Amino acid sequence: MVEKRYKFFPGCLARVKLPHIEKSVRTVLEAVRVELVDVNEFTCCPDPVVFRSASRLEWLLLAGHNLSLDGGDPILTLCPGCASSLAEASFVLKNEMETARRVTEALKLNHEFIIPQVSHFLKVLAGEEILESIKGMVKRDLSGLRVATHYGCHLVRPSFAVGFDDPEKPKSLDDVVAATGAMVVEYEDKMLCCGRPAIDEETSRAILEHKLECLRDASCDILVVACPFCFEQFDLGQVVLARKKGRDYNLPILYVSQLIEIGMGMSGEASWKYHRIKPHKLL
Amino acid sequence: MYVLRHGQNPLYQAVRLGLPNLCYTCGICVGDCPAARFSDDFNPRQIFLRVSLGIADGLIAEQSPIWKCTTCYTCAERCPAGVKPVEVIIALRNMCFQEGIVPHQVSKIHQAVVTKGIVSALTETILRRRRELGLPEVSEDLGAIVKSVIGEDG
Repeated sequence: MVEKRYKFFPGCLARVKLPHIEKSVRTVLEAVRVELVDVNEFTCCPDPVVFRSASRLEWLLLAGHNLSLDGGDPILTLCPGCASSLAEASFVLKNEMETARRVTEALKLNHEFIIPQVSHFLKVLAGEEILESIKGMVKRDLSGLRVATHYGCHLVRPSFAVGFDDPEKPKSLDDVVAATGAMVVEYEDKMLCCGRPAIDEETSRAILEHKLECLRDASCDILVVACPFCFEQFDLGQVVLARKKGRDYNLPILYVSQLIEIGMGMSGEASWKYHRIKPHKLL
Repeated sequence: MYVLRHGQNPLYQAVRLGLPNLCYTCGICVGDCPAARFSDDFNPRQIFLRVSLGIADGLIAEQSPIWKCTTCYTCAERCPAGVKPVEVIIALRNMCFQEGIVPHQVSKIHQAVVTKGIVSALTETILRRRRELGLPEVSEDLGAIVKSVIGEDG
């Protein structure tokens, strides 16, 4: 069995709105013997969509702060946005000498400061050994469950910074879902964004509606995601679509760790009360 | 309204970081762009061309199409010319911030990070839920940390 130590970066959305997802990710990582170290001073990553839009230097300073905390263990994030923001900031700090000098001086960092590796936890779960151990731990027969996967964007892009899976045809999430014994279902526009980061609400809703139409055509039982923002967009977004446009998709959304918990026969049910769309088929 | 001064592109920052002048208008960035597909006025190729030419009208604005970009990086993966499309958009958004013209929800989230260290406030309900789930406490100093980190130089 693999044993590895990471600094755990829970990010904002899970910490302040979806703690049951944070719990689920921690539970699964513990089950596959990944050791997590908590760092109290981890702030917002910073958020690659809004905070980065304010100032490039502030983005790099805050990322530099988070990257420099607590020794050299690699960082494991719960959210793809955090992984991608920190990885892209790392890339800038490694390649733009003058910018890096300004940031390290402002943060009063030692010249020997080494930027740690940053990955999303799916990278660890989709590794060959852990994938095998997940298969070995599955207790419940999920073979009848039709699961669609949504990769979102920052999990695999920008590829020059995150360096994980294929940026256009990834398979890690499908592999992990398949390891639970569930059936992976294909659907149109699988790689399309969930729409959440569009600041314009109409655009955001139009993208979501299209994704949900495609998912309905695939007649899947649940949608599995690996990003808390995608989770909220799909889960809460369905309630908004029902209210504003009378559309009723009723598609339950699970975080990938929640599906693994279910497969392993751990009680994941308690946390489903926090979902807007309940996964009845599994209850 | 922006005018060219001393022959310099007013959008120089976006040109320097995003290299839109390398664009040869092939349009591959438009095809699978979520914002282009699902809204009427977002066209990445057009934005890169305007930035290259220094035509800023309407781009540095609260209603600017740049806020529709989802930063999905699909265009960034495909551009054959070496343009860094997301860098262009982010640099334009940075300019909006400098001018103080950003959509309300954007400044709200930005302010939350600056004052609380995280994208939104922790409510009593969530604090209770975190305790019930046995999750670690969230430090109350995060806002102060962010202020000290971005304070000097930001």
